[in-house]
Amino acid sequence: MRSITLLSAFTMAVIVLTGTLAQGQVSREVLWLEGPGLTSLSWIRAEEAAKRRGYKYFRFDSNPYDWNTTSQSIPEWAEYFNSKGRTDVLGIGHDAGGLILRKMNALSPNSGLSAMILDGVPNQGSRLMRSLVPNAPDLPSEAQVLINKLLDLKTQAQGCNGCRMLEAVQRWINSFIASERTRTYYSQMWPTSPLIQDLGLPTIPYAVIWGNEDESDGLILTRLVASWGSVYGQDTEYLDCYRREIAQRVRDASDHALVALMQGVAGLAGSLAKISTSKGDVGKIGEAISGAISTVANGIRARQTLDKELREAFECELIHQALNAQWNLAVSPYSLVQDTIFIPCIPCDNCADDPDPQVVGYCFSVCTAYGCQPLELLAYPVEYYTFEPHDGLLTRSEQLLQGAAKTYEARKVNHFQEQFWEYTPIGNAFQDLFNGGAGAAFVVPK
Amino acid sequence: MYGYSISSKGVGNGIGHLFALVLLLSACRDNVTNPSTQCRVQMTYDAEVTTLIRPEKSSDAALLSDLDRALTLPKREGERVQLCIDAEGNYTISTEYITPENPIEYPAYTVGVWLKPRYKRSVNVNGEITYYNEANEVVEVGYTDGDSHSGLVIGILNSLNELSKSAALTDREFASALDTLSAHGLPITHHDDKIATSRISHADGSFSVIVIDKKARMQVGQLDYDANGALSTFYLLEVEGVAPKVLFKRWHRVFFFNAVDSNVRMKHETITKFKHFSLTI
Repeated sequence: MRSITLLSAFTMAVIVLTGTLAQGQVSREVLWLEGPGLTSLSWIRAEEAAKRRGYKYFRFDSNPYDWNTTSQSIPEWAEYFNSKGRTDVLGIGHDAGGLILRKMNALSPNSGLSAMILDGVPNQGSRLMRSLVPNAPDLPSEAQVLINKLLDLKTQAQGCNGCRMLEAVQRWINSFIASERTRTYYSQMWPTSPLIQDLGLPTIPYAVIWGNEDESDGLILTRLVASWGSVYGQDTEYLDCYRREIAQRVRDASDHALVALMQGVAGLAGSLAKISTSKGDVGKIGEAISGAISTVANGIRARQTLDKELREAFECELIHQALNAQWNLAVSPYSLVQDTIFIPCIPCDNCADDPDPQVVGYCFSVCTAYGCQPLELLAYPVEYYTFEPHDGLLTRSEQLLQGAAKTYEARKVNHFQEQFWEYTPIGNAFQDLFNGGAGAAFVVPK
Repeated sequence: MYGYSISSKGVGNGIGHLFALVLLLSACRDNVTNPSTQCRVQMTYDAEVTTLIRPEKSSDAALLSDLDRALTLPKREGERVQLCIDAEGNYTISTEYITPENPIEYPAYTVGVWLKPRYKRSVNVNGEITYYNEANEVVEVGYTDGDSHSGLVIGILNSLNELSKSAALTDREFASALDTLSAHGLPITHHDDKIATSRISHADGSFSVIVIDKKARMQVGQLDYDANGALSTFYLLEVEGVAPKVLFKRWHRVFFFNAVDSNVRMKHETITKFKHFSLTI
């Protein structure tokens, strides 16, 4: 009797456990939608990561979209996916993929989508696209105009390889307008485009993950281009190379300057000492005079070479800085900040106005020595621009969407890295959503 | 045979170079207060280096585009430098990046912040530069054209040898020697008791002006003009003492360039304030 009771209890336990397991293994249908390859190349990595973590889902077949994202407009793709007649689908979109999901919902509230996760999506459009995509096919983009200027500067700055970053950026931005089809496609993401203006808020639950590159040096484009070309979104290749190149040039030029300065200490005094000690010896004094003149001439040449090195090193750095600065100004609205810093006294600027160069030299030297107290710091007004946090392509406000069930900030993550769970804020956000952290609508069972 | 002899020479040079490097490093490293007998010249100092970028004419500031204005952020770096030149003409320059007393800082999300050094220290031995991190580990080694510096170093040593052979020049002897140069093709203009200048023309129509401090008995500046008579670069050095025993006080360097976006002529100036300066010759 006791054996029967135990058997019954065991059988019941097995039934309950099996039922629970079966319930746990119910899969969710998920539509993973990437954006175009230029801005969303590695979306498959997010899917792979979800599988590796044991989440169970059916993949909504998104072919042929995956292979030809820009062949149709965003509304056309939305209609295409709506026509498949699915139900209870969780849409997960990166970049323009998220706009397709939103358009699916806007076209038909009964599209079959029951929730959507919008990861690095231009929900309010993309200001940057105005710089990358010109109004007409025969016009250069603003970005291209700047790149052309920088390429000219680079040609002048001898030996400024710049790790070929400028060329990589040029290749990338040219691709946005490689054909009229791509130009038209990306112009859909202008903040003023009819698509963006008419989307409205989704009628189903949605969550937002927004990327924030958040690097203090502002070298966001340098990182972004490296991520674009890398398998796992690593962003250091160009930065490391560039830092090496610039650091080396600047260090070498600075060390050279120091040696040249020492030559200034010893050179003239030594030469003139030789003249003084050679007086009375006709043969020696001629040699001493020509030696002194030669020392002065060599010193001038060395200084000119050095100044050229310093200027070229700076111009090489300037190209890189300009590229990143312009990128930040193009991606994000910015505000002017006026501030005051303190600097050492600087020689009188008006010395340079004298028509006699020798008087200019005299004036500057007097100003340098007597015009300033060495320890005195002077107030110096500075103006600079601050920008809104962004992921390299989209600002915070462009990615955010009012009314989201939950919003996640992915710090230190750029637009391309938003596709990888290996970047902790991304992996954490997806797992929180799949585990029910923002509500049942986003759950994907394990 | 040809290849073999080059290889042998290379090995010989390499050993010699390595030997010199070891000697120099042991002589100069971390030896700020006690100059080594191995260094024929030793200079040590701390410096704050401030860099300013602004239009040459202040009235042009209004012409700057937003991009060009963003690229004018001042910066300040601190460095601790040791220069050692031995009697053979080998040199070592060790530069440690330190926090300046009055750092210039900008808030997060500022456009155009200049790169900060990623290395804690660099050591340049005859053109081979080794970079170290905070843990004093080698993180990078770079090779530069050391020969371009070597000529200068040899020139320094030759000049010092001349100086050591003669008694110290009086002010009058120094001025007289300058006048001798002036009479032989290097025209000198005396502006006052302290400053003299000389204008030297170059074959391409450009010219330079050197500034001589007669009290310090050394060249303390150079201005370079292009063939159109426009000032293209200059430097000025403020010193105390009499060469070669001088103290550097301040070093001001300027070059001009065209702004990337607005074509405004810009002035790039670097002001180095020396502290704890020591020069042992």
